[in-house]
Amino acid sequence: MANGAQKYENIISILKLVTDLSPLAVALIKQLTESMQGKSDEVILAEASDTFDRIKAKARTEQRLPTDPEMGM
Amino acid sequence: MRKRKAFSVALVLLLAIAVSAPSCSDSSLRQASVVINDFANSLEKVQDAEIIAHNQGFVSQSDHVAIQATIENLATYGQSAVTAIRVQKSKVGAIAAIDSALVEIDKLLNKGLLGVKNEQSKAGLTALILAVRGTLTTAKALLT
Repeated sequence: MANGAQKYENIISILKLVTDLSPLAVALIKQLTESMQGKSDEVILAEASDTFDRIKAKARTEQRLPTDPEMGM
Repeated sequence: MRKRKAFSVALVLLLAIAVSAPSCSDSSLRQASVVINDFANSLEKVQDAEIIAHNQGFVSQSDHVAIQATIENLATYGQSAVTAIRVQKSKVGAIAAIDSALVEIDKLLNKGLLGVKNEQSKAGLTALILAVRGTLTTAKALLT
């Protein structure tokens, strides 16, 4: 079982980790929220759709397969 | 006359409920759309990381092809989820697509990465795939 000093050190380490990570996490959440602000559902879904199309095209190239005709590319 | 008016109001209310129920234009659909967009971006990061690992010689050609095939399937399911929300306004359709994607991801986590030679690459890819899995479970939770 950890003694008092060890517990104190553990708590300090956790607090340090939280303070180190939180600005990054907050920045990420803020960035994501801002990037989505003012965008309609339609625009967000259109962006997702474009990304999925791009992934599929790249995956087929990597597999040395022809482009999927259903993608209309 | 009063009965007829009450009947008309009830009919209009019933029609309104019938029309609004399957359309699900609520905030959870909006949040799910944002999370599915996150899923798309995360999946692209997994794909790019795997291609880099393959180019560095850490993933064999056969494993690379198998992983890219799985990634293609995942993108197809993602596209199905987008279509379900965008065109059909269907939560059920989106959840079904997400469930299929979760099955693919679990297969990838259990078997797909066994052939990745470099431990650092394997750990990095696993972490990214777990992040992708997290976005999917979040999207599903928002839709259910």
